[in-house]
Amino acid sequence: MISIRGVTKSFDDIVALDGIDLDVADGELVCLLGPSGCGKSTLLNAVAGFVAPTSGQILAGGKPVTEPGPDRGMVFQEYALFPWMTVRANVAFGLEMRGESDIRAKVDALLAKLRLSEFAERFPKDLSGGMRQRVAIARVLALDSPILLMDEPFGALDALTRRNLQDELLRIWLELRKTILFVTHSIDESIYLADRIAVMTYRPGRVKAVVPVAFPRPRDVSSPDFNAMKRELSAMVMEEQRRHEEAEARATA
Amino acid sequence: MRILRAIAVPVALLLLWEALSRAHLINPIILPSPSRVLLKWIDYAKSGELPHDAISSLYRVMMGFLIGTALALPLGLAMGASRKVYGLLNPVLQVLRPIPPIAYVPLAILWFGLGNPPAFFLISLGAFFPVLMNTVAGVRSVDAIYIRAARNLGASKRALFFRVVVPAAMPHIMTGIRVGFGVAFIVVIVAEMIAVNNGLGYRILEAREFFWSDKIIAGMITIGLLGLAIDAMLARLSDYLLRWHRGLETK
Repeated sequence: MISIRGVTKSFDDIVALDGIDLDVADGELVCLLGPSGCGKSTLLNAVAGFVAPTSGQILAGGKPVTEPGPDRGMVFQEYALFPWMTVRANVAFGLEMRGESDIRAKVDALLAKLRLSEFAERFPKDLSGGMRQRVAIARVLALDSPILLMDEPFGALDALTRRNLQDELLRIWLELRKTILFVTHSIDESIYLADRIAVMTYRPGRVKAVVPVAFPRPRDVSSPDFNAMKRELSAMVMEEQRRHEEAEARATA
Repeated sequence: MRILRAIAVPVALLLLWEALSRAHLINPIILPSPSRVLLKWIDYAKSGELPHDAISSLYRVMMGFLIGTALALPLGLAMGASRKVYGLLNPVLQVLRPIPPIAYVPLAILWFGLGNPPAFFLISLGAFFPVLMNTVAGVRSVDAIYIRAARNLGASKRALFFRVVVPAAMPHIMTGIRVGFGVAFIVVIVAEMIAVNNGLGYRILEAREFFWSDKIIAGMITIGLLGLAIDAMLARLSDYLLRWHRGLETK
Protein backbone atom coordinates (compact mmCIF):
# COMPACT_ATOMS: atom_id res chain seq x y z
CA MET A 1 0.00 0.00 0.00
CA ILE A 2 0.95 3.64 -0.36
CA SER A 3 0.65 6.17 2.48
CA ILE A 4 1.15 9.81 1.71
CA ARG A 5 1.33 11.79 4.94
CA GLY A 6 1.38 15.56 5.10
CA VAL A 7 3.46 15.87 1.95
CA THR A 8 4.43 19.40 0.95
CA LYS A 9 6.65 20.31 -1.95
CA SER A 10 7.76 23.80 -2.91
CA PHE A 11 9.86 24.87 -5.86
CA ASP A 12 11.29 28.32 -5.09
CA ASP A 13 8.19 30.41 -4.37
CA ILE A 14 5.66 27.98 -5.87
CA VAL A 15 3.92 25.60 -3.50
CA ALA A 16 3.26 22.61 -5.75
CA LEU A 17 1.92 20.32 -3.05
CA ASP A 18 0.46 21.48 0.23
CA GLY A 19 -0.15 18.98 3.01
CA ILE A 20 -1.29 16.02 0.94
CA ASP A 21 -2.73 13.08 2.87
CA LEU A 22 -3.78 10.06 0.85
CA ASP A 23 -3.74 6.30 1.34
CA VAL A 24 -3.97 3.75 -1.43
CA ALA A 25 -4.87 0.32 -0.09
CA ASP A 26 -3.32 -2.91 -1.36
CA GLY A 27 -4.89 -3.84 -4.66
CA GLU A 28 -6.69 -0.53 -4.97
CA LEU A 29 -6.73 1.64 -8.09
CA VAL A 30 -6.77 5.35 -7.24
CA CYS A 31 -6.80 8.13 -9.83
CA LEU A 32 -5.29 11.55 -9.21
CA LEU A 33 -7.46 13.95 -11.19
CA GLY A 34 -6.91 17.64 -11.83
CA PRO A 35 -5.97 20.29 -14.38
CA SER A 36 -2.39 20.93 -15.52
CA GLY A 37 -0.29 22.48 -12.82
CA CYS A 38 -2.22 20.97 -9.91
CA GLY A 39 0.83 19.00 -8.83
CA LYS A 40 -0.53 15.54 -9.60
CA SER A 41 2.56 14.55 -11.54
CA THR A 42 4.77 16.04 -8.84
CA LEU A 43 2.99 13.90 -6.28
CA LEU A 44 3.47 10.79 -8.42
CA ASN A 45 7.15 11.64 -8.90
CA ALA A 46 7.48 11.98 -5.12
CA VAL A 47 5.97 8.52 -4.64
CA ALA A 48 8.33 7.20 -7.33
CA GLY A 49 11.26 8.76 -5.44
CA PHE A 50 12.34 11.14 -8.19
CA VAL A 51 11.64 14.24 -6.11
CA ALA A 52 11.97 14.51 -2.34
CA PRO A 53 9.10 16.20 -0.49
CA THR A 54 9.95 19.44 1.29
CA SER A 55 8.16 18.02 4.31
CA GLY A 56 5.97 15.07 5.13
CA GLN A 57 6.52 11.41 4.41
CA ILE A 58 5.61 8.77 1.88
CA LEU A 59 5.50 5.08 2.74
CA ALA A 60 5.38 2.38 0.10
CA GLY A 61 4.73 -1.11 1.40
CA GLY A 62 5.42 0.25 4.89
CA LYS A 63 8.89 1.58 4.03
CA PRO A 64 9.73 5.27 3.65
CA VAL A 65 10.43 6.29 0.07
CA THR A 66 13.92 7.78 -0.29
CA GLU A 67 14.92 6.93 -3.85
CA PRO A 68 13.51 5.42 -7.04
CA GLY A 69 13.22 1.67 -7.02
CA PRO A 70 11.72 -1.26 -8.86
CA ASP A 71 9.22 -1.88 -6.05
CA ARG A 72 7.29 1.04 -7.56
CA GLY A 73 7.22 0.52 -11.32
CA MET A 74 6.39 3.63 -13.28
CA VAL A 75 4.72 4.02 -16.66
CA PHE A 76 5.56 7.43 -18.11
CA GLN A 77 3.54 9.69 -20.38
CA GLU A 78 5.26 8.72 -23.60
CA TYR A 79 8.60 8.12 -25.23
CA ALA A 80 10.22 6.69 -22.14
CA LEU A 81 10.96 3.36 -23.79
CA PHE A 82 14.64 3.02 -24.64
CA PRO A 83 14.55 3.61 -28.40
CA TRP A 84 17.88 1.84 -28.96
CA MET A 85 16.53 -1.40 -27.53
CA THR A 86 14.09 -3.77 -29.17
CA VAL A 87 10.77 -4.46 -27.48
CA ARG A 88 12.24 -7.59 -26.00
CA ALA A 89 15.32 -5.80 -24.65
CA ASN A 90 13.18 -3.06 -23.12
CA VAL A 91 11.04 -5.59 -21.26
CA ALA A 92 14.11 -7.58 -20.21
CA PHE A 93 15.96 -4.55 -18.84
CA GLY A 94 14.53 -4.57 -15.32
CA LEU A 95 15.04 -8.32 -15.01
CA GLU A 96 18.66 -7.98 -16.11
CA MET A 97 19.21 -5.22 -13.57
CA ARG A 98 18.08 -7.63 -10.88
CA GLY A 99 20.33 -10.36 -12.23
CA GLU A 100 17.43 -12.75 -12.72
CA SER A 101 17.75 -16.07 -14.47
CA ASP A 102 15.55 -17.41 -17.22
CA ILE A 103 14.90 -13.90 -18.49
CA ARG A 104 13.96 -14.99 -21.98
CA ALA A 105 11.10 -17.20 -20.84
CA LYS A 106 9.78 -14.52 -18.48
CA VAL A 107 9.89 -11.89 -21.18
CA ASP A 108 8.16 -14.20 -23.65
CA ALA A 109 5.36 -14.79 -21.16
CA LEU A 110 4.88 -11.06 -20.60
CA LEU A 111 4.92 -10.28 -24.30
CA ALA A 112 2.27 -12.93 -24.81
CA LYS A 113 0.17 -11.49 -21.99
CA LEU A 114 0.19 -8.08 -23.65
CA ARG A 115 -0.21 -9.53 -27.14
CA LEU A 116 3.18 -8.21 -28.23
CA SER A 117 4.89 -11.48 -29.15
CA GLU A 118 5.12 -10.78 -32.86
CA PHE A 119 6.66 -7.35 -32.23
CA ALA A 120 9.43 -8.63 -29.93
CA GLU A 121 12.31 -7.77 -32.24
CA ARG A 122 11.04 -4.37 -33.35
CA PHE A 123 12.35 -1.03 -32.21
CA PRO A 124 9.97 1.45 -30.53
CA LYS A 125 10.10 3.81 -33.52
CA ASP A 126 8.37 1.13 -35.59
CA LEU A 127 5.41 0.82 -33.18
CA SER A 128 2.23 2.84 -32.87
CA GLY A 129 1.66 4.95 -29.77
CA GLY A 130 -0.70 2.35 -28.31
CA MET A 131 1.83 -0.43 -28.86
CA ARG A 132 4.55 1.57 -27.22
CA GLN A 133 2.50 2.05 -24.09
CA ARG A 134 1.73 -1.66 -24.03
CA VAL A 135 5.48 -2.29 -24.07
CA ALA A 136 5.92 0.28 -21.31
CA ILE A 137 3.37 -1.62 -19.23
CA ALA A 138 5.08 -4.93 -19.97
CA ARG A 139 8.37 -3.37 -18.94
CA VAL A 140 7.13 -2.46 -15.45
CA LEU A 141 5.15 -5.69 -15.05
CA ALA A 142 8.45 -7.50 -15.55
CA LEU A 143 9.59 -5.99 -12.27
CA ASP A 144 6.71 -7.75 -10.55
CA SER A 145 6.40 -4.77 -8.25
CA PRO A 146 3.32 -4.59 -6.01
CA ILE A 147 2.84 -0.91 -6.85
CA LEU A 148 2.35 0.63 -10.28
CA LEU A 149 2.61 4.39 -10.81
CA MET A 150 1.11 5.69 -14.03
CA ASP A 151 1.66 9.25 -15.24
CA GLU A 152 -1.02 9.98 -17.87
CA PRO A 153 0.12 6.89 -19.76
CA PHE A 154 -2.70 7.05 -22.32
CA GLY A 155 -2.85 10.84 -22.67
CA ALA A 156 -1.39 10.97 -26.16
CA LEU A 157 -3.48 8.16 -27.64
CA ASP A 158 -6.56 8.43 -29.81
CA ALA A 159 -9.89 7.67 -28.14
CA LEU A 160 -10.30 4.10 -29.42
CA THR A 161 -6.76 3.00 -28.64
CA ARG A 162 -7.12 4.62 -25.29
CA ARG A 163 -10.26 2.66 -24.36
CA ASN A 164 -8.54 -0.48 -25.53
CA LEU A 165 -5.56 0.07 -23.27
CA GLN A 166 -7.76 1.04 -20.34
CA ASP A 167 -9.52 -2.32 -20.67
CA GLU A 168 -6.17 -4.03 -20.95
CA LEU A 169 -4.97 -2.31 -17.79
CA LEU A 170 -8.10 -3.31 -15.88
CA ARG A 171 -7.69 -6.90 -17.03
CA ILE A 172 -4.09 -6.97 -15.82
CA TRP A 173 -4.96 -5.21 -12.58
CA LEU A 174 -7.72 -7.70 -11.77
CA GLU A 175 -5.48 -10.61 -12.60
CA LEU A 176 -2.36 -9.45 -10.75
CA ARG A 177 -3.98 -7.35 -8.02
CA LYS A 178 -1.55 -4.48 -8.21
CA THR A 179 -1.83 -1.29 -6.20
CA ILE A 180 -2.15 1.47 -8.78
CA LEU A 181 -1.83 5.23 -8.50
CA PHE A 182 -2.91 6.66 -11.84
CA VAL A 183 -2.55 10.32 -12.83
CA THR A 184 -4.95 11.71 -15.42
CA HIS A 185 -6.68 14.92 -16.41
CA SER A 186 -9.49 13.02 -18.11
CA ILE A 187 -12.66 12.80 -16.02
CA ASP A 188 -13.96 9.92 -18.15
CA GLU A 189 -10.78 7.97 -17.72
CA SER A 190 -10.78 8.38 -13.95
CA ILE A 191 -14.41 7.20 -13.61
CA TYR A 192 -13.81 4.32 -16.00
CA LEU A 193 -10.80 3.04 -14.09
CA ALA A 194 -10.73 4.06 -10.47
CA ASP A 195 -11.94 2.64 -7.18
CA ARG A 196 -11.54 6.12 -5.78
CA ILE A 197 -10.73 9.45 -7.40
CA ALA A 198 -8.66 12.07 -5.61
CA VAL A 199 -9.48 15.47 -7.12
CA MET A 200 -6.66 17.98 -6.72
CA THR A 201 -6.73 21.75 -6.52
CA TYR A 202 -4.69 24.13 -8.64
CA ARG A 203 -1.80 25.78 -6.79
CA PRO A 204 -1.25 25.07 -4.06
CA GLY A 205 -1.94 21.40 -4.86
CA ARG A 206 -4.24 19.96 -2.22
CA VAL A 207 -6.65 17.06 -2.18
CA LYS A 208 -9.97 18.77 -2.78
CA ALA A 209 -12.08 15.64 -2.43
CA VAL A 210 -11.78 11.88 -2.56
CA VAL A 211 -14.71 10.40 -4.45
CA PRO A 212 -15.37 6.65 -4.41
CA VAL A 213 -16.67 5.15 -7.65
CA ALA A 214 -19.16 2.64 -6.36
CA PHE A 215 -20.67 1.05 -9.45
CA PRO A 216 -19.33 -2.23 -10.82
CA ARG A 217 -17.00 -2.83 -13.75
CA PRO A 218 -17.09 -2.98 -16.70
CA ARG A 219 -18.51 0.50 -16.48
CA ASP A 220 -20.85 1.75 -19.13
CA VAL A 221 -19.71 5.26 -20.07
CA SER A 222 -23.25 6.15 -21.23
CA SER A 223 -25.06 4.97 -18.09
CA PRO A 224 -26.91 7.47 -15.85
CA ASP A 225 -24.59 6.62 -12.93
CA PHE A 226 -21.56 7.39 -15.02
CA ASN A 227 -22.99 10.67 -16.25
CA ALA A 228 -24.12 11.77 -12.80
CA MET A 229 -20.62 11.24 -11.49
CA LYS A 230 -19.17 12.98 -14.51
CA ARG A 231 -21.31 16.06 -13.77
CA GLU A 232 -20.23 16.06 -10.14
CA LEU A 233 -16.53 15.74 -10.98
CA SER A 234 -16.71 18.21 -13.86
CA ALA A 235 -17.96 20.90 -11.54
CA MET A 236 -15.04 20.32 -9.20
CA VAL A 237 -12.36 20.03 -11.89
CA MET A 238 -13.64 22.97 -13.94
CA GLU A 239 -13.47 25.23 -10.91
CA GLU A 240 -9.76 24.39 -10.63
CA GLN A 241 -9.31 24.69 -14.38
CA ARG A 242 -10.73 28.24 -14.19
CA ARG A 243 -8.25 29.11 -11.47
CA HIS A 244 -5.49 27.70 -13.65
CA GLU A 245 -6.60 29.80 -16.62
CA GLU A 246 -6.93 32.94 -14.54
CA ALA A 247 -3.44 32.42 -13.17
CA GLU A 248 -2.10 31.99 -16.70
CA ALA A 249 -3.89 35.13 -17.87
CA ARG A 250 -2.35 37.06 -14.97
CA ALA A 251 1.07 35.68 -15.78
CA THR A 252 0.91 36.73 -19.41
CA ALA A 253 -0.74 40.11 -18.74
CA MET B 1 16.78 9.54 -67.36
CA ARG B 2 17.96 10.59 -63.94
CA ILE B 3 21.35 8.98 -64.53
CA LEU B 4 21.67 10.83 -67.82
CA ARG B 5 20.93 14.11 -66.09
CA ALA B 6 23.47 13.34 -63.36
CA ILE B 7 26.35 12.63 -65.75
CA ALA B 8 25.53 15.20 -68.44
CA VAL B 9 27.49 18.08 -66.91
CA PRO B 10 30.62 16.11 -65.93
CA VAL B 11 30.75 14.48 -69.37
CA ALA B 12 30.35 17.80 -71.13
CA LEU B 13 33.09 19.38 -69.01
CA LEU B 14 35.45 16.48 -69.68
CA LEU B 15 34.81 16.67 -73.43
CA LEU B 16 35.39 20.42 -73.43
CA TRP B 17 38.58 20.01 -71.44
CA GLU B 18 39.81 17.23 -73.78
CA ALA B 19 38.99 19.31 -76.86
CA LEU B 20 40.77 22.40 -75.54
CA SER B 21 43.83 20.33 -74.72
CA ARG B 22 43.93 18.66 -78.10
CA ALA B 23 43.61 22.00 -79.83
CA HIS B 24 46.70 23.09 -77.83
CA LEU B 25 44.74 25.88 -76.25
CA ILE B 26 45.90 24.80 -72.78
CA ASN B 27 49.50 24.20 -71.85
CA PRO B 28 49.65 20.48 -70.82
CA ILE B 29 51.94 21.37 -67.91
CA ILE B 30 49.34 23.70 -66.50
CA LEU B 31 46.47 21.33 -67.21
CA PRO B 32 46.97 17.99 -69.00
CA SER B 33 44.08 16.47 -70.92
CA PRO B 34 41.76 14.01 -69.17
CA SER B 35 42.93 11.17 -71.37
CA ARG B 36 46.53 11.80 -70.32
CA VAL B 37 45.50 11.87 -66.68
CA LEU B 38 43.68 8.59 -67.12
CA LEU B 39 46.66 6.95 -68.83
CA LYS B 40 48.95 8.22 -66.10
CA TRP B 41 46.55 6.93 -63.47
CA ILE B 42 46.66 3.47 -65.06
CA ASP B 43 50.50 3.57 -65.18
CA TYR B 44 50.63 4.74 -61.61
CA ALA B 45 48.32 1.92 -60.53
CA LYS B 46 50.03 -0.78 -62.61
CA SER B 47 53.51 0.06 -61.33
CA GLY B 48 52.30 -0.78 -57.84
CA GLU B 49 53.15 2.70 -56.66
CA LEU B 50 49.55 3.84 -56.31
CA PRO B 51 48.33 0.88 -54.23
CA HIS B 52 51.37 1.26 -52.01
CA ASP B 53 50.77 5.00 -51.55
CA ALA B 54 47.07 4.48 -50.93
CA ILE B 55 47.72 1.80 -48.33
CA SER B 56 50.36 3.96 -46.62
CA SER B 57 47.95 6.89 -46.44
CA LEU B 58 45.08 4.73 -45.22
CA TYR B 59 47.30 3.16 -42.59
CA ARG B 60 48.23 6.61 -41.27
CA VAL B 61 44.64 7.82 -41.28
CA MET B 62 43.46 4.72 -39.44
CA MET B 63 46.20 4.88 -36.81
CA GLY B 64 45.81 8.60 -36.23
CA PHE B 65 42.05 8.35 -36.18
CA LEU B 66 42.08 5.43 -33.76
CA ILE B 67 44.49 7.17 -31.40
CA GLY B 68 42.49 10.40 -31.50
CA THR B 69 39.18 8.63 -30.99
CA ALA B 70 40.52 6.36 -28.27
CA LEU B 71 41.50 9.48 -26.32
CA ALA B 72 38.46 11.59 -27.18
CA LEU B 73 35.72 9.05 -26.45
CA PRO B 74 36.45 8.29 -22.78
CA LEU B 75 37.33 11.91 -22.13
CA GLY B 76 34.13 13.12 -23.81
CA LEU B 77 32.00 10.62 -21.91
CA ALA B 78 33.58 11.67 -18.62
CA MET B 79 33.19 15.37 -19.41
CA GLY B 80 29.59 14.90 -20.48
CA ALA B 81 28.67 12.89 -17.42
CA SER B 82 30.48 14.85 -14.72
CA ARG B 83 30.26 18.57 -14.12
CA LYS B 84 33.48 18.41 -12.14
CA VAL B 85 35.49 16.83 -14.94
CA TYR B 86 33.90 19.24 -17.40
CA GLY B 87 34.75 22.27 -15.29
CA LEU B 88 38.29 21.04 -14.88
CA LEU B 89 39.09 20.28 -18.52
CA ASN B 90 36.83 22.46 -20.61
CA PRO B 91 38.82 25.73 -20.30
CA VAL B 92 42.05 24.10 -21.51
CA LEU B 93 40.32 22.30 -24.35
CA GLN B 94 38.50 25.41 -25.50
CA VAL B 95 41.83 27.24 -25.76
CA LEU B 96 43.47 24.38 -27.68
CA ARG B 97 40.53 23.58 -29.94
CA PRO B 98 40.76 26.53 -32.36
CA ILE B 99 44.43 25.82 -33.14
CA PRO B 100 44.37 24.00 -36.50
CA PRO B 101 46.31 20.71 -36.46
CA ILE B 102 48.47 22.08 -39.27
CA ALA B 103 49.81 24.73 -36.91
CA TYR B 104 51.31 21.89 -34.88
CA VAL B 105 53.52 20.80 -37.81
CA PRO B 106 56.75 22.43 -36.55
CA LEU B 107 56.22 21.11 -33.04
CA ALA B 108 55.29 17.67 -34.37
CA ILE B 109 58.60 17.45 -36.22
CA LEU B 110 60.51 18.77 -33.23
CA TRP B 111 58.89 16.25 -30.90
CA PHE B 112 58.58 13.21 -33.11
CA GLY B 113 61.18 13.70 -35.84
CA LEU B 114 60.27 12.41 -39.31
CA GLY B 115 58.32 9.37 -40.48
CA ASN B 116 55.02 8.08 -39.18
CA PRO B 117 55.06 9.33 -35.57
CA PRO B 118 54.53 13.04 -36.35
CA ALA B 119 51.88 12.06 -38.93
CA PHE B 120 50.02 9.99 -36.34
CA PHE B 121 50.24 12.86 -33.91
CA LEU B 122 48.84 15.43 -36.34
CA ILE B 123 46.08 13.14 -37.63
CA SER B 124 44.99 12.10 -34.15
CA LEU B 125 44.84 15.77 -33.19
CA GLY B 126 42.57 16.39 -36.18
CA ALA B 127 40.20 13.56 -35.22
CA PHE B 128 40.32 14.30 -31.50
CA PHE B 129 38.30 17.51 -31.19
CA PRO B 130 35.29 16.66 -33.38
CA VAL B 131 34.84 13.34 -31.58
CA LEU B 132 35.33 14.96 -28.18
CA MET B 133 32.98 17.89 -28.66
CA ASN B 134 30.21 15.75 -30.14
CA THR B 135 30.53 13.13 -27.43
CA VAL B 136 30.25 15.78 -24.70
CA ALA B 137 27.21 17.29 -26.42
CA GLY B 138 25.68 13.83 -26.89
CA VAL B 139 25.99 12.85 -23.24
CA ARG B 140 24.72 16.21 -22.06
CA SER B 141 21.64 16.05 -24.26
CA VAL B 142 20.44 12.62 -23.10
CA ASP B 143 16.74 12.99 -22.32
CA ALA B 144 16.17 12.94 -18.55
CA ILE B 145 13.18 10.62 -18.97
CA TYR B 146 15.50 7.74 -19.98
CA ILE B 147 17.53 8.28 -16.83
CA ARG B 148 14.37 8.27 -14.72
CA ALA B 149 13.03 5.17 -16.41
CA ALA B 150 16.31 3.33 -15.92
CA ARG B 151 16.55 4.28 -12.25
CA ASN B 152 12.95 3.22 -11.76
CA LEU B 153 13.83 -0.14 -13.31
CA GLY B 154 16.61 -0.58 -10.77
CA ALA B 155 19.66 0.28 -12.90
CA SER B 156 22.98 0.65 -11.10
CA LYS B 157 25.15 3.68 -11.89
CA ARG B 158 27.28 1.53 -14.14
CA ALA B 159 24.33 0.11 -16.06
CA LEU B 160 22.82 3.58 -16.28
CA PHE B 161 25.98 4.83 -17.94
CA PHE B 162 26.80 2.00 -20.31
CA ARG B 163 23.30 0.81 -21.22
CA VAL B 164 21.45 4.13 -21.24
CA VAL B 165 23.69 7.19 -21.46
CA VAL B 166 26.16 5.84 -24.02
CA PRO B 167 23.59 4.45 -26.47
CA ALA B 168 21.40 7.53 -26.08
CA ALA B 169 24.43 9.69 -26.96
CA MET B 170 25.33 7.47 -29.93
CA PRO B 171 23.75 9.64 -32.68
CA HIS B 172 25.95 12.57 -31.62
CA ILE B 173 28.99 10.34 -31.20
CA MET B 174 28.59 8.96 -34.73
CA THR B 175 28.39 12.49 -36.11
CA GLY B 176 31.63 13.27 -34.30
CA ILE B 177 33.26 10.18 -35.73
CA ARG B 178 32.31 11.07 -39.29
CA VAL B 179 33.48 14.65 -38.95
CA GLY B 180 36.64 13.47 -37.16
CA PHE B 181 37.42 11.05 -39.96
CA GLY B 182 36.97 13.81 -42.51
CA VAL B 183 39.43 16.04 -40.69
CA ALA B 184 41.87 13.14 -40.26
CA PHE B 185 41.77 12.61 -44.00
CA ILE B 186 42.65 16.25 -44.68
CA VAL B 187 45.47 16.20 -42.15
CA VAL B 188 47.05 13.02 -43.51
CA ILE B 189 47.67 14.68 -46.86
CA VAL B 190 49.32 17.68 -45.20
CA ALA B 191 51.37 15.46 -42.89
CA GLU B 192 52.62 13.42 -45.84
CA MET B 193 53.73 16.55 -47.63
CA ILE B 194 56.02 17.30 -44.72
CA ALA B 195 57.19 14.34 -42.72
CA VAL B 196 57.33 11.18 -44.86
CA ASN B 197 58.39 9.93 -48.28
CA ASN B 198 55.45 7.90 -49.45
CA GLY B 199 51.67 8.15 -49.41
CA LEU B 200 49.33 10.10 -51.67
CA GLY B 201 50.15 13.49 -50.14
CA TYR B 202 53.86 12.94 -50.60
CA ARG B 203 53.36 11.68 -54.15
CA ILE B 204 51.49 14.68 -55.48
CA LEU B 205 54.07 17.02 -53.98
CA GLU B 206 56.85 14.95 -55.48
CA ALA B 207 55.13 15.02 -58.89
CA ARG B 208 55.11 18.81 -58.73
CA GLU B 209 58.93 18.82 -58.51
CA PHE B 210 58.99 17.22 -61.97
CA PHE B 211 56.05 19.21 -63.39
CA TRP B 212 54.09 15.94 -63.75
CA SER B 213 50.75 17.60 -63.55
CA ASP B 214 49.00 14.50 -64.93
CA LYS B 215 50.30 12.55 -61.95
CA ILE B 216 49.29 15.30 -59.54
CA ILE B 217 45.74 15.11 -60.81
CA ALA B 218 45.75 11.30 -60.82
CA GLY B 219 46.83 11.43 -57.17
CA MET B 220 44.17 14.00 -56.32
CA ILE B 221 41.46 11.88 -57.90
CA THR B 222 42.65 8.87 -55.90
CA ILE B 223 42.45 10.93 -52.70
CA GLY B 224 38.92 12.00 -53.58
CA LEU B 225 37.76 8.47 -54.36
CA LEU B 226 39.24 7.08 -51.16
CA GLY B 227 37.59 9.80 -49.09
CA LEU B 228 34.27 9.12 -50.75
CA ALA B 229 34.58 5.38 -50.16
CA ILE B 230 35.46 5.81 -46.50
CA ASP B 231 32.64 8.24 -45.87
CA ALA B 232 30.19 5.88 -47.57
CA MET B 233 31.39 3.06 -45.33
CA LEU B 234 31.02 5.21 -42.23
CA ALA B 235 27.53 6.21 -43.36
CA ARG B 236 26.59 2.53 -43.68
CA LEU B 237 28.04 1.77 -40.26
CA SER B 238 26.19 4.71 -38.76
CA ASP B 239 22.92 3.65 -40.38
CA TYR B 240 23.35 0.20 -38.91
CA LEU B 241 24.30 1.34 -35.41
CA LEU B 242 21.50 3.91 -35.37
CA ARG B 243 18.87 1.72 -37.01
CA TRP B 244 16.71 2.32 -33.95
CA HIS B 245 16.87 6.07 -34.35
CA ARG B 246 13.91 7.89 -35.82
CA GLY B 247 16.13 10.43 -37.52
CA LEU B 248 14.99 13.92 -36.71
CA GLU B 249 13.32 12.96 -33.41
CA THR B 250 9.93 13.85 -34.83
CA LYS B 251 6.94 12.35 -33.14
